[in-house]
Amino acid sequence: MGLLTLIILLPLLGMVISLVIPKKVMWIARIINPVVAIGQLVVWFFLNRFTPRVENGFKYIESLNWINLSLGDIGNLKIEYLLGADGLTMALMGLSILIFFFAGIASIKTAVKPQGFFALLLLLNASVMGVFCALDLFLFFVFFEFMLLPLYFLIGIWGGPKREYAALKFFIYTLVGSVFLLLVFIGLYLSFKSPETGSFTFSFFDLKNPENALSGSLFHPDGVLFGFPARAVGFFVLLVAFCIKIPAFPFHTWLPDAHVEAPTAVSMVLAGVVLKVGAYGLIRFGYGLFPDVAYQFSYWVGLLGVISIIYGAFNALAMKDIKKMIAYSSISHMGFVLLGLASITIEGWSGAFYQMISHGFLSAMLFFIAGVFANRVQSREIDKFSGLTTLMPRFGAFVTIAFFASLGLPGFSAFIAEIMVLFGAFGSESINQLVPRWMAIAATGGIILGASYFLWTLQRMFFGKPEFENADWKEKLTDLTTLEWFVLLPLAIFALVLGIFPQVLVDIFNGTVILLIDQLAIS
Amino acid sequence: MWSTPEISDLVNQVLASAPHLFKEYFLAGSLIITILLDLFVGKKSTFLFSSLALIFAGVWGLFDAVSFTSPIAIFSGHAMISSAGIFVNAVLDIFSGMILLLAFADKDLEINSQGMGELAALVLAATIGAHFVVFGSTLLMIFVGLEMMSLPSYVIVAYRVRKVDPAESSIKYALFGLFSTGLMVYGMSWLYGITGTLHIFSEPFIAGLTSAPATLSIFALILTLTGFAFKISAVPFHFWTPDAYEGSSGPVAAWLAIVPKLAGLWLIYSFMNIFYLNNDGVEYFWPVINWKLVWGIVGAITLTFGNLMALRQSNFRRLMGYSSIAHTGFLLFGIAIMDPQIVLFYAVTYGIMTVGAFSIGIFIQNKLGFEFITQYGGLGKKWPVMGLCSIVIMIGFVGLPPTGGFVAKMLVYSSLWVDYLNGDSWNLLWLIVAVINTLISLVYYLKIPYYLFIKEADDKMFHPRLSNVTSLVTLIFAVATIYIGLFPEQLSQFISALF
Repeated sequence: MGLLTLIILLPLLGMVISLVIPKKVMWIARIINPVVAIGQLVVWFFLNRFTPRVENGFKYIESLNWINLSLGDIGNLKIEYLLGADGLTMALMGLSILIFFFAGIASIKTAVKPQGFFALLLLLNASVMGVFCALDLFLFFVFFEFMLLPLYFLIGIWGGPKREYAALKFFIYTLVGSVFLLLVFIGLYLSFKSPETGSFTFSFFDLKNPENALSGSLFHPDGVLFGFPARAVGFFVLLVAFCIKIPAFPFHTWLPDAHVEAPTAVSMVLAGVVLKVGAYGLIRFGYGLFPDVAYQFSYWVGLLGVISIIYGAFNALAMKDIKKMIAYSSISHMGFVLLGLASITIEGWSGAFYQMISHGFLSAMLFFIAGVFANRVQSREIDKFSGLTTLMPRFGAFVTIAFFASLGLPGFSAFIAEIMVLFGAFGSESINQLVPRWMAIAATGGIILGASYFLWTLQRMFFGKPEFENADWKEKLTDLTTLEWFVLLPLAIFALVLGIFPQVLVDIFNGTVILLIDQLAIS
Repeated sequence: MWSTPEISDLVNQVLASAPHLFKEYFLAGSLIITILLDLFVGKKSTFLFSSLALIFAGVWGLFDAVSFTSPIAIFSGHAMISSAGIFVNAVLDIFSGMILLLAFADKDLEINSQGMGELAALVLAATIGAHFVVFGSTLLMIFVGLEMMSLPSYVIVAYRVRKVDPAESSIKYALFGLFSTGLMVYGMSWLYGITGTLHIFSEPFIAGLTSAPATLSIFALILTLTGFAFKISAVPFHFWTPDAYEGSSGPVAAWLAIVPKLAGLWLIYSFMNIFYLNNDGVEYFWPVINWKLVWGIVGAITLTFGNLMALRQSNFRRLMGYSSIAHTGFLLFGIAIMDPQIVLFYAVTYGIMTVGAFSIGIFIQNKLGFEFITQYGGLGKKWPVMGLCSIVIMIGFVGLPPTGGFVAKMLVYSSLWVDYLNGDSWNLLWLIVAVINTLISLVYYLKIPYYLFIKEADDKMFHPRLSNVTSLVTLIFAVATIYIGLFPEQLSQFISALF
């Protein structure tokens, strides 16, 4: 059994333990999420630090035959259990493990049906790990779909008052995306044959190489669908499918609902990890499998990114609920990922990768902050709070750090990410003419908008005189507990470390970015 | 081909054909024993005996299907025994047996003053009828088989005298059934008149169809197929389905959703074989009707209609009724592309999930008397095992991984896709319809786990403990659903070995 499999199996093991644990030793179930994450982190460190590095491409490949179906005339359906990791995978896995660790700590006191909650969180953990390292498209799809169920129940059972609506909306939106995904995957599968076995294949390595395409098949470079080049249609459909998950304008409407209703830990995972799955899928399968047509869509990808940045920021500005404000800020920040990808430059892509990780930590921190309000006074309306710094000075300090880090203050991770994306976007017009300069300028405008909504919120909630509707709020709004320190402090440190020593993270994915951009440039 | 044989020839043929039907003799014997047991021993033994007999015959059939080599026409061509047919019958037997075991525990049926013994006998008789529907290769045999399957099923739908509506729905079912049978017989008599033969796979049959005026042939064929479509509840011959399911008891509805449907489906498949040269599904023998298009349209309409109607249902069995209509649509796509392996794979997976789903509905109704999904609030927390199983089974119905339902739907998608690439542009439309419907179906299938887990329980409601045995039954079907999803090649290899 390989180490990647181990990373996927650990949470499943934890899930079984948390379900069968007797009520008397409930504390074991409560700490099982962080414990599993620590175990995964050890494995991750081992993979990342102590195994010989292969600079290019995938390493730690695990391959097992899984399904071998005979389909009569069509041929053989061959599905492998194929795992592998490159720099992108390792960076995202590291992020996810840490976010699951903090989400586990944040939810340690869950009162309602705790065992089910912890088990579902672990199931989500396992599927996310699977998504990031699955290299067989079928296997990827299985893991991808499997993320939906735990999220549906986590939002639907433990969520806020409108949880049922939010859970169903989330499920249907993402399922629409995954059905599109499935169609493209089936199309790809029927268009490619493995050069070794001669059977149809779902393997990423075989599908990546256009020479393996059967002549006359749909996704052969000459294939045509509805009068358009089929590969362009394929990339477009993948783009839509993953944009639902990212989410980019106009496919984003499920996100604010889901976030507002989701419990804190689930929001942290949703923003910190699940949104990254969309971007990951677009990079791995959109750009990875259709490099030849991805160029043609750069303008549109960039446009979606810029609209998301601006539109998300304006919406965030208008929101009354702090959690909704953060949700829209996520949409705005994920827009930078799209813009960076659209530029198809090394700076842009590095910035996009960096933004994914940086936003992962920061959004988890922001959603945890929203949870701090909800835990104390069951209200998150920005207007209902003022002058919180006098009551909760330490909390105020962390909120200030989180807000400043998110709006892109130099010295924090988001700054590095956004500046690299902007380098890529500005440079694109002179290097490859893919992204016009106005998009980069507009994105800069988005940063200014980001500064305004974060600072305005900070000013309204934390400064001024402490005045509240209910008199008892003053007693209820106590400063941070040890548990909250334990989540906020490390997350703030991560944001700072990644802002001051970007090399720590860049080292992990740099080789991969260069390789991916080279592949795109060749085709 | 089968021109008036001599008496001695006839006797020899009968003698040579007889050994091929041992399973049917066994079932017929079991039927007699069942009736005797019902009279002399006790009600419960009847049930146990008949269901075990069915399962035994089914397992026997599975072994038989593997060892059987090439198709044989028996009884002067009235029946055609093939390994695929034996397999279909084995599947029908096993599902019937399982459903009888479920009926064993059903309170609704237990209360019946008539006792339950007759139900077992009727199900057994109808299943024997289904065998001949599957084997039938003459119009006469098909008709006899269909009637033998239908007449008992009219009675078992009414097998719940406690309430008023069963009688109504049974009458409705019977009237619709008899009407469609009438149309079918009328069509069959036209077919006989046109072709001069009962043997549907013979040369004169297809030659007669071709030489007759096209309108006449089409008229006769449509009337005949009406009867078949009624059995599988394809739109527009589906009206009886939701009413019959709602009015009858859970096990009977499950039986209706599986046995007549799959038998009818296989009948349509073998009937369609007439029109394909060499049975390889490539060239049209009779180019007047594009059967692929016909079944594609019927499938798409059935699928969409079933799904849209299911959205509004809250009665569990009515919901399952519309869901079964929707799955008929999917199965008809398999017929349209004439891929029997995919049809069989889908049918087996569908059967497993259907029995599993009905077992959940039956258990809830037994314990609490709930017929409406809206009453299920909070049950999942009280009965976690059953709740988890319901998630697995409903996810399977939607067709999400890692369940057998996903693999089955993916096979349908893939073959539609391949067929589209081979130049049949309609298939792209069917593919889109299938995908959209998968999304629609999510909404109503999720309703069940939604009420079980997310809706709060009514605290005043007393929830008895669910016995371990009942949980185990549901668990078996849920595990089977996942097993087929994770390791589909065992089932598919078994099926592909039949052809």
